[in-house]
Amino acid sequence: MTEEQNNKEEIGSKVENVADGDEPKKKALQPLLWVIFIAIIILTFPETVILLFVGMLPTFVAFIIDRSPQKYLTCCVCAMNITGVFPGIYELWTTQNNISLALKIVTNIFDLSLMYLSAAIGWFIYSVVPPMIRVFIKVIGQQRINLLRGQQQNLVQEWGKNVANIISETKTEKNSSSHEINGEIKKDSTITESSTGVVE
Amino acid sequence: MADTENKLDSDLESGSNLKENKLTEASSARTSEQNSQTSAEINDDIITSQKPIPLIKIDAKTPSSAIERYDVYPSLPLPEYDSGIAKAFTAIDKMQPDLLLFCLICYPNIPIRLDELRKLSGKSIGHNILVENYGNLDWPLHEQQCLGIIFQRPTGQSIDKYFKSEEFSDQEKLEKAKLILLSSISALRNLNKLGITHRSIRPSNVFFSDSNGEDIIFGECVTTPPGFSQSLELETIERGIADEGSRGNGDVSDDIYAVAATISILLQNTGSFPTFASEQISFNKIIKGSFNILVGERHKSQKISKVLEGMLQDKIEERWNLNDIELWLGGETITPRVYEKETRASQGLTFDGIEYFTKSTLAYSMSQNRSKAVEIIKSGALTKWSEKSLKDKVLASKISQVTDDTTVQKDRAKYADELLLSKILIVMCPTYPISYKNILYTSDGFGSGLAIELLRGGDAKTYTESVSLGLLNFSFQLNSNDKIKNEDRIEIANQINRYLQKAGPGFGVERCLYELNPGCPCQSPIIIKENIFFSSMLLPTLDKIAGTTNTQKSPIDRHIAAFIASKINDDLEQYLSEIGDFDKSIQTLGMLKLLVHIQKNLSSTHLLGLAKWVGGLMAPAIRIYNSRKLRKDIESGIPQIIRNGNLGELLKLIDDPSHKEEDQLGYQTAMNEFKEAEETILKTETNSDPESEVAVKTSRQAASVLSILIMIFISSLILLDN
Repeated sequence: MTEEQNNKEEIGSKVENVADGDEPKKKALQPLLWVIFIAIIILTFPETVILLFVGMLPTFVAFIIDRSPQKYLTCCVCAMNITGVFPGIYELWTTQNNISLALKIVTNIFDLSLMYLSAAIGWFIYSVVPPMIRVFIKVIGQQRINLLRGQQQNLVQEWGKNVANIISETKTEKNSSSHEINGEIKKDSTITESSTGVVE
Repeated sequence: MADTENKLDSDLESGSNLKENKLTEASSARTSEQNSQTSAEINDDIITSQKPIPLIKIDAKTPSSAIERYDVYPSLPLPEYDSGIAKAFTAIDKMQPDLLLFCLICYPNIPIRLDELRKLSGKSIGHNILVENYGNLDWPLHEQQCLGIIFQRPTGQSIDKYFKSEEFSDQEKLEKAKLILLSSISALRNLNKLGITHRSIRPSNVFFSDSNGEDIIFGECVTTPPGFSQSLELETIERGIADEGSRGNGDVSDDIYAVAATISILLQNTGSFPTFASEQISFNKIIKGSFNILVGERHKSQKISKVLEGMLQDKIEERWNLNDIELWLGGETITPRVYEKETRASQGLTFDGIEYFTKSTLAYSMSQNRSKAVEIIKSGALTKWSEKSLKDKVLASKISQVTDDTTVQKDRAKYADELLLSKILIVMCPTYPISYKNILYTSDGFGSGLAIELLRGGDAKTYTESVSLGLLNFSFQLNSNDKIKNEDRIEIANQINRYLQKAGPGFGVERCLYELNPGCPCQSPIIIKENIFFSSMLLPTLDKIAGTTNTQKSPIDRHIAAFIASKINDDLEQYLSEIGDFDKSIQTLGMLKLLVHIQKNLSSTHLLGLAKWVGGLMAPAIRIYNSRKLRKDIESGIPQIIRNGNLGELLKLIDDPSHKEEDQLGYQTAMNEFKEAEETILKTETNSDPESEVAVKTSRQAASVLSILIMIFISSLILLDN
């Protein structure tokens, strides 16, 4: 190893350290920015924030419960929840747009029920639709398999049974390669064991 | 007899006058030889059958009625011209009906001397019978095609009859004996010019060529292997010991010996001739010498005994040649040769209760009593006797060397004792026939011996085993007088070994049979009855029999493959190896390629029957294609080609390279498509499972999308409503 190479490596590691140091700083700033942004929103549109906070409570609950990375449950509940909140928001924005009206809406049992019921429908969609879709996918998949099997049958009729040999050949190759790998692993382990003096 | 003549007369009513004369003449000849005629072993049905059988020329490319020139009459046998097992019948040349001919019908299970026949056919060779022509006949006695050879009848009678006759004085007979000697010089020289030995000179096969009895001709020499029909008296010691079919072509000295033996026998007819059992003849010849056995005491005092003594010398180098005989006949005195007698041992070796003093007598007895012979070799008694009593240290050292070599190889050789004995016998008497187990053959008689054994349905294993064990080569190495000839022989022996080592069609014992015996007809069960000698006859014959034979079997079997390989000089190895392949499709294609090769070489076209036969066997060959559609297309094309009778077109259709390439490409694509489909199926099966990750994810996505759509829809309605 030459000195030049050593120097290059050192410089490289320093550059990497600098880059790694910027990332945490950015991440640390993000919550602060969010707080500032939310504070601005609350201060600018207090009546809308009140309405959304109360009306979108089911969505917040769903967000907390939903642990999947894609948050499909949250999405379903949120979409339907918004549908339920939308008439209230619309009324607020198209009439007085003040805090008293916002409070009036959120305290109106009818409006509140609409918001929460629509959120419940969202929950219902999330519970009922996926199984139905899965059945549908299965049916479509089966149809596709049947189609492909038919194509294979045609190929066998035209070219004979040997045309399917390639599958068994591939399987055999895979098996043999896996055996080889196992063998190599075993060999390696034996070598390791023998090198450590465990196996004589 | 009278019945036969009546039928003959009635048959001849419709024939030409000339023909009538000929047949009546033949008929009267039969009357004069009533005794011999009635004893002729000819089937009654055949005798009563009056229809002549046409002789079909066999080396023509296609048999045709146009070349059916000769008619042979099975009802008119001519026993005076019978030669060994070949029977003679009246024959007529339709183009020259005035010629007096006879036809010898060759026995189907005995190979003939075809090369010699071809050389002699149609040529007038001085003092030898004229071979007019030859061809196949549908011979009813053998119920198959047999080779018939047309000869011109000698004008005079057989000398055998002359010498047996009491009409002539001893002096006259001695004069005729000299005439035989004189004629034989010319006859044998003429044959020698053609590279032929006669090997069938015997009293019944020498004739007067004219009615006055002033000239002599030798009879036929082609219907059997050399020396096959000869009695042991007429054969030299070496060739007489060998089995009848394995006596070999020999050389002119063997014919000279036979001439002298014939004269001796003919002269003995007038007096008493000692009769021995056949096995005793050779033994007595070895002990006393041929001259002492064959020439009677009465004739030993006569002048002719000098020439007979010279001609009957048992050592080839001491035997008189044709020049010596000519000089003697010219009245010159031949310097008496000092004949070196075989070394006699000071003390005898007791073998099988008899004491032997010479190696030749001992060797002969050892070959007859093999188990005891092995004992005296192994005990070392033979080596000791050779060294101490025979005073032949060279022989003793050779014997001990062979014994040591064979003992070393004992574990490898299955028949070590037999091999040891055979080698010792060769060492003791190198000129004697090779003796192995129960067979005895001369080095140039191996081929015919093998053929006789095979054709008679015997087991040729002993013959092949002896070659594989190197006995032929061993014999050649010890008989190294003529180096160039010997090298050729060793090469032939090596070639035989190579053929035997290969087991596939076109090789093995069948190949040896046809390579060593050009006069052996093809022995394939399919065409054995057709008596095929030439490759040119093969395809037309297969074409002819296609309608009557089992066409489920391939027209090329082991015998036909070997026959073709030996008759056609082209390189056929590839086709033969394909025929021997385990894969039926390669096998069938190889068969077709070989047939096409022959058809092209021999320009045989329009083989409708064979094309139909072969076409019906093409199913495995078509299976080399993977595409079913292509197979059907080819199958549908075959009938049209069959109608043309051209095998080449059939091969072109089946073995088309463009078809093969197209099929291979298509097959590869189909395999890839199949593989892709299989992969897709597996993927779909995995993904369409309700519990699969993809299905769960997709279904949840769908629920989310549905919720969003509902949201958009309702929000839009609200907005539109207001």
